[in-house]
Amino acid sequence: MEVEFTVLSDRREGLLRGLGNVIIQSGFTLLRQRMSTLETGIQLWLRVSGREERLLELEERLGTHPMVLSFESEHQVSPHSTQPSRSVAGPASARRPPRVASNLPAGGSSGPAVGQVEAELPGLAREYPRIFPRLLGLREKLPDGQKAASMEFAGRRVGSWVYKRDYALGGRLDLPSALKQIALPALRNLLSTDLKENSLRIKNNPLCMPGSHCRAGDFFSGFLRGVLDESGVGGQVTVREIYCRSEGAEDCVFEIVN
Amino acid sequence: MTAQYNMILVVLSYLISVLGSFTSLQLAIAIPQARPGREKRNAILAAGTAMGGGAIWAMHFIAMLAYEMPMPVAYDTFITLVSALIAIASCSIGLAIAGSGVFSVDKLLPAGIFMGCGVAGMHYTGMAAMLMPAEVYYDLNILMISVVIGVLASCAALWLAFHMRGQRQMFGSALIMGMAVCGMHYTGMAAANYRHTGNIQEATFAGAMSGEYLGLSIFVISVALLMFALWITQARRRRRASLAI
Repeated sequence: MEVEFTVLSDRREGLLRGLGNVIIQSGFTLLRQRMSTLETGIQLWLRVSGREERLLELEERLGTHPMVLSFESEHQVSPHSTQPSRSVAGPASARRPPRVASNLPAGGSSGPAVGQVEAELPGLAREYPRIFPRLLGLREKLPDGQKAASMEFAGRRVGSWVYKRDYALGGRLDLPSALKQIALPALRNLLSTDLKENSLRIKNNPLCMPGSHCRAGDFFSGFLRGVLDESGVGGQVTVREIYCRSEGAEDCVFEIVN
Repeated sequence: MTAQYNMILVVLSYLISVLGSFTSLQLAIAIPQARPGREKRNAILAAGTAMGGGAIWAMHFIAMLAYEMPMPVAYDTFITLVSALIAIASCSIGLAIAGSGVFSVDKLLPAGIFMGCGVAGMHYTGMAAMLMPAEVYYDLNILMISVVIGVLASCAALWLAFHMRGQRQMFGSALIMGMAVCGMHYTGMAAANYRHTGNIQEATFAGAMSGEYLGLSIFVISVALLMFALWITQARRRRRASLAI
């Protein structure tokens, strides 16, 4: 059978290669692809063929892939598609209602404001590591329902960029070593930070002023996620804020668990 | 037989081993990011060649030129080339092991053994290439110590290069690897005893490499290493500046 996927991502670099590997690992063959830039992110349209019984596995893998913000799939059983240039329909034509929902809604009230964050990213890169005034300004401008997801998204993009810029060269590390050798110095570049086992304690976090109810530690959760995803251990870990300065704790503490 | 070291050349031998190690390890830390297949193979070979040919082979022969012996010495060309190949091959294997998968102690030990044995293999093969009116005998205990120094210091250098990030990764690993190469070499030299045979066979020296040829080879290798190290540094600086967020 042949299936079309329309994937929304926040990253162009490595997207086709990453998803191509997922498709191959699921026993499917990539027939065509097209990438375009939208206001909400990078859209990748894929047409694949393979066995129907492995479709759920492929959808599961795409849905949980760290580069995928959301995706739609459209099943198009076409056993006579021997002339792909004629028989293959574009993603806009003959579209059925999507069968698979997104794993992270893009553009919905709880999703990130990708366009707004993207516009700030070059400035964040330019001013790095003195990025907090710009981050605070960005948070102010974001719609209420999208603040958390957008700050997490911004953190992920900055973390991923910092890893590629400063820490990519060297051996692949396990989680404790990645925390010590990569995440800790990357955070120390921004703020005073300590590492104790799998917990990172960030001091004087300006994004979590007392009484601001930021609890989820969105930017730093995303930042750690971005750094660890790029270092190759991200798929195995969860980042969560266990103490927050905004709720009266002395420092913000993030726990990274397998 | 008495021989003495020219200290300027001894210092130069350490500097060339550090320069070669720096170039090689800067190439080696890109191995984990290289795409499997041709790209990875080229990255391994480039790093192994810089380490085996630059840090080890060139250092060895500068150190041999520093060792002033009261007799004419030349080097068998074939065995000298074999000694370089031994160093390049074993360093390439060691770096390939260290650069594959998740870096751990399980990888470090075999990689360090290959690197250390590469240094020792090159050294003792290089010694066997010497053509002179004397025979060489080794103190086995000191010889073993020289190999252990090579392996342990190689492990330390690989640990810094593949496990750490930042300045210690960049410079610490090269300084320690330089110590591995020089430590092994000069300990190995202390294990050697020479006995005059008084037998100078001109025929043996025909076609062999003398000091001038060695000096020229080493000069070419040193300049190539320096240019390569500068190129890597510049290329990485440009890439860092242009990396889009």
